[in-house]
Amino acid sequence: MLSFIYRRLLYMIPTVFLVSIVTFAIIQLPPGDYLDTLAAELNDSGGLDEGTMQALRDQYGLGQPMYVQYIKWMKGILLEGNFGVSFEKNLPVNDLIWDRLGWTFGISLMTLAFIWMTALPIGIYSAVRKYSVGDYVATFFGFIGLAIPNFLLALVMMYVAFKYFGQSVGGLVSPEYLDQPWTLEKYGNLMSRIWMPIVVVGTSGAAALIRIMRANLLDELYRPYVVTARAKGMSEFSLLMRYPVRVALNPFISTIGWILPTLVSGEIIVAVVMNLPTTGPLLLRALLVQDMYLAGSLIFIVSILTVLGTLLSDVLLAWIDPRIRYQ
Amino acid sequence: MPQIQMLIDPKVQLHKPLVEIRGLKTQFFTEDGVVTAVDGVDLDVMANRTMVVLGQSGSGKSIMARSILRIVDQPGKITEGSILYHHADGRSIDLAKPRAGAPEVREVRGKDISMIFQEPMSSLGPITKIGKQIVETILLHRNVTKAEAKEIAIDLLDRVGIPRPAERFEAFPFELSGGMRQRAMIAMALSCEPRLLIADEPSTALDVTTQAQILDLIAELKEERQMGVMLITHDMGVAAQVAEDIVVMYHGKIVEKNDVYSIFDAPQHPYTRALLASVPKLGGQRVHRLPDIHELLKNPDTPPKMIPAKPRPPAGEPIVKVRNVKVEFPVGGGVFSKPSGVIQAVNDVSFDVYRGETFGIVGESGSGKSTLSRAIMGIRPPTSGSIEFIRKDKPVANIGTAGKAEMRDIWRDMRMVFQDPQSSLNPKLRVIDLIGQCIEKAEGLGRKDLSERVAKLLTQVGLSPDYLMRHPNAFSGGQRQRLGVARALATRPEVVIADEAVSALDVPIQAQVLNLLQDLQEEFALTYIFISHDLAVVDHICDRVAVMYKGEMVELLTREELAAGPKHPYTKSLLSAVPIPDPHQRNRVRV
Repeated sequence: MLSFIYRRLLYMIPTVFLVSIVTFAIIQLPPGDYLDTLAAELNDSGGLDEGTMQALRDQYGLGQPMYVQYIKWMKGILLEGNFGVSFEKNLPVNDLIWDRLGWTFGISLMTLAFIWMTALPIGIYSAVRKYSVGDYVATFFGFIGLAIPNFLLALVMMYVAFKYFGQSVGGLVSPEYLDQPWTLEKYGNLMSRIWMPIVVVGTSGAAALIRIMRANLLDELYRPYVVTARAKGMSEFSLLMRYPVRVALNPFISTIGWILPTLVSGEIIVAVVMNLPTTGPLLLRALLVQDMYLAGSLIFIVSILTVLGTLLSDVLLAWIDPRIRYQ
Repeated sequence: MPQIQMLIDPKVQLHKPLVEIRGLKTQFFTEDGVVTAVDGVDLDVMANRTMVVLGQSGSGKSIMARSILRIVDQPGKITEGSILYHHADGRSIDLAKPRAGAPEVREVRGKDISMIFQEPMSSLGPITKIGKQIVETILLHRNVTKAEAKEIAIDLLDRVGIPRPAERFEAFPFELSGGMRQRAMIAMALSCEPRLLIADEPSTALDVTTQAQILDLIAELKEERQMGVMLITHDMGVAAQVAEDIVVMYHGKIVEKNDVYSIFDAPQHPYTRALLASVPKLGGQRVHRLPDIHELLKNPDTPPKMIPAKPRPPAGEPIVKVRNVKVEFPVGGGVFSKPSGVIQAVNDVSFDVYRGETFGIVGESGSGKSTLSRAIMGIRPPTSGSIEFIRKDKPVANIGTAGKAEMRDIWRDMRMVFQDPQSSLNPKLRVIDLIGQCIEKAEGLGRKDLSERVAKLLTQVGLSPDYLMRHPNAFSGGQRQRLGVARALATRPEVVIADEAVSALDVPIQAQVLNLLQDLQEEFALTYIFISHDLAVVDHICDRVAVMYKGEMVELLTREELAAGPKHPYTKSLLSAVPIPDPHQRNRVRV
C-alpha cells in the first residue's frame, strides 16, 4: 500500500510539470498582452505614449520570449512561493487569491458532501426498489437536475428566495455583515445562505451520481455473492451495506477526482450570478483583461488541486478495494 | 486435526427427515408469462445421507434447492406446497409460509441449513477478507465473542485443508486459487454446524483433481458431523461417486428417486435411461455415435444398438507442424518499469497433427492448452519456435512470421469453435450475417447467394434453414454451439480448433454436438484440434491425445495407449481423478 502511494506521488511530478506548461501556453494563446488591453481601454482618455508602453513592457518582462517568461514565473513559484504580480490590480497574486481559493475550496468540499449525502441513499433506494414509485420520482428529479443549467437554477432560486422569503440575494453573507468581524451571528448568517450555492452547484453532480450508483448497484445486486450472504442468514439491510454497496462504491470515491474541476469550473458562472467571493469572478476578469500571472496562477493551482484530488481518490480506492492495489 | 465439537446428538431422530417437501411449486413471473421452474416436488431430506439431485440445466434442481432456503431470485415465487423443517429442539416450521427475509427463515439459513455454490470466485464477497466473511456468519448465529469466532474460523480453515490458515484468514478471495476458495466457502458453510449442507454444483467449475479433493472433503465432513448433504449436479460421474440416494429431475418434476445402485443398475424412467446412455465413458469399446436423447426418449423400450466406431483411416501427411514452441507472458511492469519476469505459458512443445485426424489436447486450467491453441491460430504468436501450416493447394505457411494479409488467408483455412456459445456470438447480428460475414466479402456473394449458402450450412449442422433471420439469443445453448460450428465451417476450412467446445453444454446436448462434429469430419475431411479438460470426451472423440501440465507436454498418446494405461504419473493421476459414472467403482484408489 505504501509503495502504491509512493509510486502515485512520483507520477504526479511529471503531470504537474506538464500542467504548468500547458497552463502557461494557454494564457499566452490570445493575441496581444495586458498592455494592449490597457492601451485600448485608456485610448479614450488620451492613451499612453510609446515610451511609457515600452517601459512598462520591460518592467513586466512582456517583450521576452515565452520560455524565458515561463522559467521566470516557475522560478518565483518554486523558490519563493511568489506567483507573480497582477497587472491590473498592481498587487502580488498571493495577496489576491488565497482568500478566494479558500472560499472556492470550502464550497467545493461542502458541495461534495452534499452530493454524497443525497446521491448515496437515493441511489441505493432507486436500485433496490427498482421500478417503484420512489425510483421513478428519484429518476425524474435526477434527469431534471441533469438537464437544468446551474446558472438558471441559481437565478430561479434567488428569485424565489427574494420574492417569497424576503432574503437579500447575492454574496455569502447579508450586506450588513460584509465588513463585520466573524461573530457567531455572522456565521449563522453565512450558514443560512451558503446552502444555496451548494445546492445549485451540486444538483447536477448529485443527479449524475444517483444514476451511476443505481446502475452500478443493479449490476452487483444479483451477483452470486449476494445470494451467499443471504444464505448465511444475514438481514437484507446489513448484507446490502456490507457487500454490494461496498463494491458499487468505487465510482463514488472516483468522484473526488472529477468533481473538483467540474465544481471549480461550473462554479464560475454561478459565482458571477450569485456574487460569491470565490475564484470564479476573479478568474473571469483576469482572463478578460489578459492579466496573465493572475489567470495563470489560478488555473495552475486549480489544476494542482485536481491532480491532488485524483491522487486522493486513487488512494482511497486502493484502500477500499484491495484488488486495485495489486494491479 | 482439531475435531470440532458437535452440538447435535447424531443418534437422535435418525429416521425422521430433516426437511419434508410437499407439493412444492416455484414459479417465475416474467414478462413473457409464468415459467414453472419447480412443479410439484415431494421430497424427504434425511440427516447423515448424501442425496444427489441430478438433472440438466433448466431442470429446476437448483431452484428447488434454493426454494428450501427461500433465496430464489426475483421474480421467482413459491406458489404452492410446503417445506417443513424440523428443528433440533423439536419445533417445526414451514419455510414456505413466511416472507423470504423473515427472522424465522433467517434463523435457519446458514445455521441449520447452509449452502455452497458453483462459482467460488463470484460467490464470495470480492473485496472482503475470507476470515471476515466466516467470522460474520459465526457472530450471526452463535453466541461467541469476536476473538472466539476468529479462533473457530481459523480452526475451520485448517479443517478444510487450507495450509497456513492463520495467514489465509487475512487473504482476499482473489488471492486464492479456485480450489482454495471453494474450501473457504465450505468452511464458511460449516461454521455454525449445519444439520444439512446444500451444495449446488460445488465442483463443476474446478479441475478434475481439485474436484476429487473437494468431493472427498464433503464426504469426510458429512461422516464426521453426521449431517445431511444435498448435492446438486449434472455430472453422472460425480453422482455415482458420492451419492447414497439419487433424485432425477426433468422439467421441474422428480421423475425418479432411488438409491444410487438402483438408479445406475436399473433405471426405471426413460429419461434416466437416456441420460445415463448419453454420457461418454472413459475406456472400453469406442462407440461410433453417442445415443441421441430425443431418439432415446421417443422409443424408451428399444434403445438403439451401440455401433462400434469405424476403424479410422490411416493418418495422412502432417497438416500442422509444431516445433519447440514457447509462449511467454511478461509479468509486472508498468509505464516506467520493465517487466519483472516472464511466465512460461507454453514451454518447448513439439508435435505433428496429421491430416484427417482428431488431435486432443488435455490439461487442467493453467496448463497452457488454450495458450497453445492461440499460438497455433496465430492470435498470440509464439515467443520462439515455429508452427507450420501445410495446406492442400497452397504454399506452406509459417504462423509466427506470416504477414497480415497471409494471416487473413490462413484464418479462412483454420477456424475456431469457442467454449461459450453465449458470449462468442454477437447478439446484435442475425444468423445470416453471423455465419455469412466471413464469406460475404471474400467471395463477393450477393445477398441471395449468401442466404442460400448459409441456409445450406444450417442444414448441415442440423438446424432449420428458416432460422436465417433470427438473432442468436433466440436459440438454446446447444443450438448456439451449432451456429458456432456452422460459422467455423463457412469458409470450408481444413483445420478446426475446438477450444472446450462442448464443456459448457449439458450431457445430452454435448453428445449431440460431439456426434455432429464427427459427422462433419467425415463429410468435409476435416482435421480437428480438440482442446478439453474432460478426459472422457477427449477419449471418445480423439485419435491421439497430448497431455499438458504446467506449460509442458508431458505425454503424447494414441487412444489405445490411453485406454491401456498411460505411463506418465501426471496422466495417471488425471485419469484416476475423473469420476466414473458407475457406483460400483467408487472405492477405487486415486493416484
